[in-house]
Amino acid sequence: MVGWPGGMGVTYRALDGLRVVELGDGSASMAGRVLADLGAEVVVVEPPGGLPERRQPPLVATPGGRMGAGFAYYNAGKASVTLDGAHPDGARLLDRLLDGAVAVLAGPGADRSRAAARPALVWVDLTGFGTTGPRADWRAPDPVVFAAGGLLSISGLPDQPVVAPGRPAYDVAGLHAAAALLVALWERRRSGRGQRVDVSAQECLAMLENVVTFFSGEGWVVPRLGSQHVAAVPGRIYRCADGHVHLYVTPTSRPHWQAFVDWLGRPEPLAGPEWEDGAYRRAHADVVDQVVSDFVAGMPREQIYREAQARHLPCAPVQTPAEFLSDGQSQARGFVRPEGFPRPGFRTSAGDSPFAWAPAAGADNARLLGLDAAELDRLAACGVV
Amino acid sequence: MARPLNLEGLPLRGVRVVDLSHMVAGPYCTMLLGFCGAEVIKVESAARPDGFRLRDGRGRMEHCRQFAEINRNKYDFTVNLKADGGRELLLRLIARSDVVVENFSAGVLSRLGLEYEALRAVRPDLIAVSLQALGRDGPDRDHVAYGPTLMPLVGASHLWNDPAWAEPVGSQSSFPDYVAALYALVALLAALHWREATGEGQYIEIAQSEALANLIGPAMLQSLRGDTQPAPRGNAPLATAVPSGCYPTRQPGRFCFVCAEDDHGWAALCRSLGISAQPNWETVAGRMRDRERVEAAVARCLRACDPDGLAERLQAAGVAASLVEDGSDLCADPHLADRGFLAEADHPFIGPLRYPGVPLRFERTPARAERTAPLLGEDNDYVLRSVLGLSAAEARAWVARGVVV
Repeated sequence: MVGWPGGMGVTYRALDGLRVVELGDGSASMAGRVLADLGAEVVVVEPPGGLPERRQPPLVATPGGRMGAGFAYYNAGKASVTLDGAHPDGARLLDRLLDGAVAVLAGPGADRSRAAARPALVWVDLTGFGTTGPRADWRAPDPVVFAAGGLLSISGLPDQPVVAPGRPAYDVAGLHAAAALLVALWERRRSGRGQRVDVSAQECLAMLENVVTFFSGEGWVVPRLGSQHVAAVPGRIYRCADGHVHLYVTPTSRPHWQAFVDWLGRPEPLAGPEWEDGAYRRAHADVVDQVVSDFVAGMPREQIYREAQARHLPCAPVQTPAEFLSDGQSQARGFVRPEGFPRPGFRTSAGDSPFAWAPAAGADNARLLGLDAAELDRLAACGVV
Repeated sequence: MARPLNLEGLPLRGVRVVDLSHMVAGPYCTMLLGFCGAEVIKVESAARPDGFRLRDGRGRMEHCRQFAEINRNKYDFTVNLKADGGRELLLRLIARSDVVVENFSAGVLSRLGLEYEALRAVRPDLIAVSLQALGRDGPDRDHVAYGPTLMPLVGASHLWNDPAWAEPVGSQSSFPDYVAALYALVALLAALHWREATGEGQYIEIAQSEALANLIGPAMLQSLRGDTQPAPRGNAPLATAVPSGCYPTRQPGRFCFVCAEDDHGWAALCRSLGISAQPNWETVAGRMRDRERVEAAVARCLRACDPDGLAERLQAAGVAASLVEDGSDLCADPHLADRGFLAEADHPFIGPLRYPGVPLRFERTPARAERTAPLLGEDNDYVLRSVLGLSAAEARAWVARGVVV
């Protein structure tokens, strides 16, 4: 039905004809990436020589040469122009580019001065803390926003918080920003008018995990418990013979617990009916964890996974990214494209998503800036492009 | 008696969504749609309410704050899909709707006779969105998985770690659910645009595992095409930011994240903390060579600092820093207060409660949190009479038959 490994033979470009210009230091790139996955023409405006992220290790091989893994991932399917917006000639080129655009994603570091003069544009500002308020000028790399957004407080060990992998704050914000852009475009169909949208990454994160209402409702600060779930016992990672597994039993499900305890062979310490109550298990987690640890200690991951799933128990091996990419499910679904690149986070019956490698810096200068080779050379020599 | 839900002036006004989803992934997506003015009709039943109503473990379905937080701006319609006529009634509603969102476990949808083909038969241009743990096909399609178990499966837990720790730690969060919700949201909004252009609907599938894998997309790409496999980076995710860490302060349990993004940031940090200038440490290369001692010097200073105002002071000096904010900090956060992000709203059973607001701030057509979470069946009358156009007698008959209950 959707995205068979052989492909559907049809490329789906929901946003065909939509030009989105991406400005700033590259932190808004997830927003542009998902729009490119949907067929929009997303143009990244980089400084002459390209964004520093292009050279940021770890480097990966692409047909166009080696490139930072982050840049290669976030800018797949996009076009690139290079220009110095602070130079008068560069500013004129940027204006020319914006003339042909419908929407702008203005990330951290972007020049926002053009927004007011272009009310027909959908102009989305994506920043760490928003464009207003006492922290609008804060230095906001991803982990700073992750800390300010509430999620770092539930991430890691009790005496040591640890940030999530990747670029979680700006990625979550980027997805929110892409949605906001599409909503504003929808409204524009009716009204004929663009508008500005302010997306604060801190606010996006503060929506998640009920961190706010656990406190505002009951004065409870969600603790940091590593992989241990706040309510479910068992509900964490356990060591096994050849690695680790995650085992979880829904606190409110008696059938789940019964299936679990049967699987363990009805061990004596967990035999009584009181253990059916999730809250009781949480209060006596050390007993449960000891029995479970002993049970899985000598078993390989795959066996534990198979046996648990055969009993409809949510269990997962703790895998590396490589193991996930090569496992049976990923292979069957063709999650990795023939080109050696992961597929997007959605699939549709309307067709395959388009794919192209991240562009070389300024690859689209001639086409999008309307310059011939001689003009490009002249401007490059002045550091304008 | 239903409370009014006024969606006038909102940007997605006129789009109707039938929301069959439970828990987090579907509901967070549809709540954002509701904030933007889509008419979201949440479908539950007394026999099968949204399990998230019991999230707080207290067993009172109209009192759960966690449910309330992610189910705002939704109408509620109770239909017993297993009762005779339940499926028929739901299909009538879907025939008048633009989007359907569901996250049923494998097999449930076909047992209910609600697969895409059946829905498309009543509404050819329907946009159907299915959120599944591992996807609808493949050898593991029937596997049971939740947010906390998807992170280890995909490789996120392996990376959500400090290199110094012997065991993978990860997080107990349901992060994958929110990520899936956001991919669903973007894909379905694009589908609405596509339908305007072509008249065509579509079936959208979000495998939560694949959505989550894209949130560590660069790591996946490194695994496929890099020289080394991705490894946990702890609190130093930015390769050239040294020092970088989550440091204890003078107050136990209060931490401050601080990093020196570049040499200027390092100089600013030294000035703020009173660390005397060390020529060896002026460049990032020098700080990397002597990393342990650099980190120890910074940690020593920060351990003596009071957390209150610390991040503000560091930021003012040009240092990237933030307190590790928990729920109490978010509720007292002066920046969020200045932006009016947290607002109190009333609920018939929960009473007044402060909620996070709408993170998408449209300048001309603002989205808004209009109504707090619905009671079970709160809007049955509205759906039966106004949406489905039934007479009072017809509406009563559906209730009497045990279908709307």
